[in-house]
Amino acid sequence: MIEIRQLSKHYKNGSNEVHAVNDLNINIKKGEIFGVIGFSGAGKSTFIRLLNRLEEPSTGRIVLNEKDMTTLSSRELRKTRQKIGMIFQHFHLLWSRTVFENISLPLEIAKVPKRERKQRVQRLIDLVGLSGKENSYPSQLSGGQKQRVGIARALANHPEVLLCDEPTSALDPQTTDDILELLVDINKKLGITIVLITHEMHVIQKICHRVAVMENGSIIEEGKAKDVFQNPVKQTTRRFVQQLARPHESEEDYLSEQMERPEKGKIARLRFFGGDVSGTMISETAKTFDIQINLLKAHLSQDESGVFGSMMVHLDGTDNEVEKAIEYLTDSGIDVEVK
Amino acid sequence: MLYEWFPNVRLEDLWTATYETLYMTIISVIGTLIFGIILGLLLFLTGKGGLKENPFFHFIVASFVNIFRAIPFIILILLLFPFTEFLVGTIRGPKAALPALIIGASPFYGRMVEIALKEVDKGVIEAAQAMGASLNTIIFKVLLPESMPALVSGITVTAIALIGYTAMAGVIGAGGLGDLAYMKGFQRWDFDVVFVCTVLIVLIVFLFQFIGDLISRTLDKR
Repeated sequence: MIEIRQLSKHYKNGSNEVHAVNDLNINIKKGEIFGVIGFSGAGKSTFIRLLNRLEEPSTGRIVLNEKDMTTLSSRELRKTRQKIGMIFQHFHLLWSRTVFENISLPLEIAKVPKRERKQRVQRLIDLVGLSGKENSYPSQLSGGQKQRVGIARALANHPEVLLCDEPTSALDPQTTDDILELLVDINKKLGITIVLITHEMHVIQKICHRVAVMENGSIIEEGKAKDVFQNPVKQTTRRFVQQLARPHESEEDYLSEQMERPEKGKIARLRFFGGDVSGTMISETAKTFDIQINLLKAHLSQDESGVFGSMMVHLDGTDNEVEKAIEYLTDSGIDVEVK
Repeated sequence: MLYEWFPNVRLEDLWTATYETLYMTIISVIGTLIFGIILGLLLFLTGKGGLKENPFFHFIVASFVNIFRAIPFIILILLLFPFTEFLVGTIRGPKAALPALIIGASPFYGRMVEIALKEVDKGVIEAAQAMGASLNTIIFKVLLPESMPALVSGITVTAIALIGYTAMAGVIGAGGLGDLAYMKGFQRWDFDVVFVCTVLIVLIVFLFQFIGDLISRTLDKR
């Protein structure tokens, strides 16, 4: 469906050359939801804009539905873009147009006759669940509603691909889930291929079939979303997996601040990223070294590939033994953060 | 009573002068609107980071705008006499004032248009490009509608400046309230005429400001 070959984007920033995107090779299959995750500055925003040539690639090819995007003339490009929907973090709706008129814009651009436009816009409004809001202006809508308008607008010309640029990063958690459900719904109902970039692990976990982790303009890990995050190889990937445990961590931090300092030993947070690490590591450590491990709080979950989450523990023992235990745990692939 | 307080004011003169002032202002506002928007669009589109970035062309347009903005209006009228005579056939009367009024105000409004366009959310322009919009579509369906309140308040300010210009043009024979105040009032030392003309000009300015604010507010859905 989308074939990306040796795609690079370089530009000059003063005297130094910036490699925003570096030699990407990706195949995205028809009908799948493909996620690209990365921290800010990783190049994912440039990457998604290369796909519809909002950014011109420096080198490489993008073949979309057997059409080479990189060789299109500007007229052909405009025609092709009508079949590529795009939604944005900050929605980018026209404040001067009502909901109805905003969704109608891409149809006006594609020169759809007025009567048909009216029917299609109404169907889209129903699809995204905004019936009754036709004549509202964007300023009267909530963030989630604005993104629904954005989605309806992106779907207006029956696109084959939907590009999502941080679609939920400006939304609260509940609204994020609603919008993600809508995207899954659209993907299933209309069979649209979705390419999505985000820095939120939750988004990938919730809807993406496959994921690529991006860092410094390159893809450092790629595969089925489940596999990549159950066996994270790279440090960056692990940090994203950690995000899932984050909500509990503030609770744990509070706990460790409230606690009296133990007379000996250390309070530490252990983070589990699945893979070969199993829950028995804790009892093994306690057996191997002359320490006791007191469990203070834990948020762990286990599936076929291992344990995920974090726990707060008191490692009770002499300094020497505790140090050795920490080293042992770290070597086994558990992230140890001493409080 | 009117006669006692304003012995030299003749109603029909006032009526003609007010009509001429409104005529000059309204026609020149329309002209300025058209040329100013064209200049503003050229400045915006060819400027740095613009959709049709072109430093050389931008430099030409910007120089033209800056030069005409720098010339004091009263001198611009004199400079344009030959051009006006060629275009209108005369250098007297309200019609003859129009070329100078439009040429004097368009660069001023053009800069305001440029500023208004720069305020349009870049993301919205990007979204339109992603939909496959052509430059024309982006101009007429995105740039102009999205900057409309600023365009309207800009033309309001310009219109008020133009009312001032018409009074100046009046002094060299264009007609209107400025002409009346100067020729019949000041020259003959009939200050009641100057006073009444001033009041009428102030009323016209208020009227334009009121209408401008009203339209700008109605259009703004942000």
